[in-house]
Amino acid sequence: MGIHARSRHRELNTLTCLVMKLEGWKTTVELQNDAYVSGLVIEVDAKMNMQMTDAWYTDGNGRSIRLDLFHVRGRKIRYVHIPDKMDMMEAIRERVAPLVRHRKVGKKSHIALKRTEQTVRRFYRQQEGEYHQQPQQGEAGPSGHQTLLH
Amino acid sequence: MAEDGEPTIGTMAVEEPLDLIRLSLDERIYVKMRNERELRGRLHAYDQHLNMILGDVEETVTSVEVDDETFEEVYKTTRRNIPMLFVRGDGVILVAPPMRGGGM
Repeated sequence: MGIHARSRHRELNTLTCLVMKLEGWKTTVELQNDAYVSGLVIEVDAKMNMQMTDAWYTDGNGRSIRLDLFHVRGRKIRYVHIPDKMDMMEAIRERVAPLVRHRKVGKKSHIALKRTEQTVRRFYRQQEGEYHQQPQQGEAGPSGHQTLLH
Repeated sequence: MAEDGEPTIGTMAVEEPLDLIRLSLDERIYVKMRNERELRGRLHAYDQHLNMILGDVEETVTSVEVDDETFEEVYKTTRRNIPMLFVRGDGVILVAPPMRGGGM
């Protein structure tokens, strides 16, 4: 339970959720070793570890190689190109909303469960607040929350 | 959470350094990154790790070469433009408003 709670927290409180929504999109990822990879994103986890298929890996010298499966550690990523056609706000809402609405509040004896619940509810409340307010910039909120602009 | 006497910008309290970045949302900013890289773009989103979403971004990579004959230092810059970019926060050194004048 503890591992999942931490994963969820990392996912919901950072911009990683947006990168996770790139599953199924074709994009370019630039790595910290000056290499870049262009391919179809299969999977991204909460630590931004990424798997791609049909990938063209180009190293710092410009040499390219085609790979059927490419996996990279999240920490080794420098940039991720976001496709023009992607609606980022919608993607993030899709990511967050299901976790809040369908969650049943059971016995809160487990601390990890309680923490996840609070995080998710707080995030959803903050999102609702921003949506109704239509401000120039996002609400202050507790530190550690992402701020987004429509 | 804002106490009386705290500096405020409009209706929002400035409590910590990250709040200053919030003020730059949807503005053009300058980001200095590791490995002699600089980004200039419009800030769409950020988080506490300084992961950022930048739009209309121009990346500048600076490299130094030493001339073989004159032993002068030659600074070379490479630029490119990307429409929408996610930047991983661990590469970010600093965030600032775009600099006016020299170095543009």
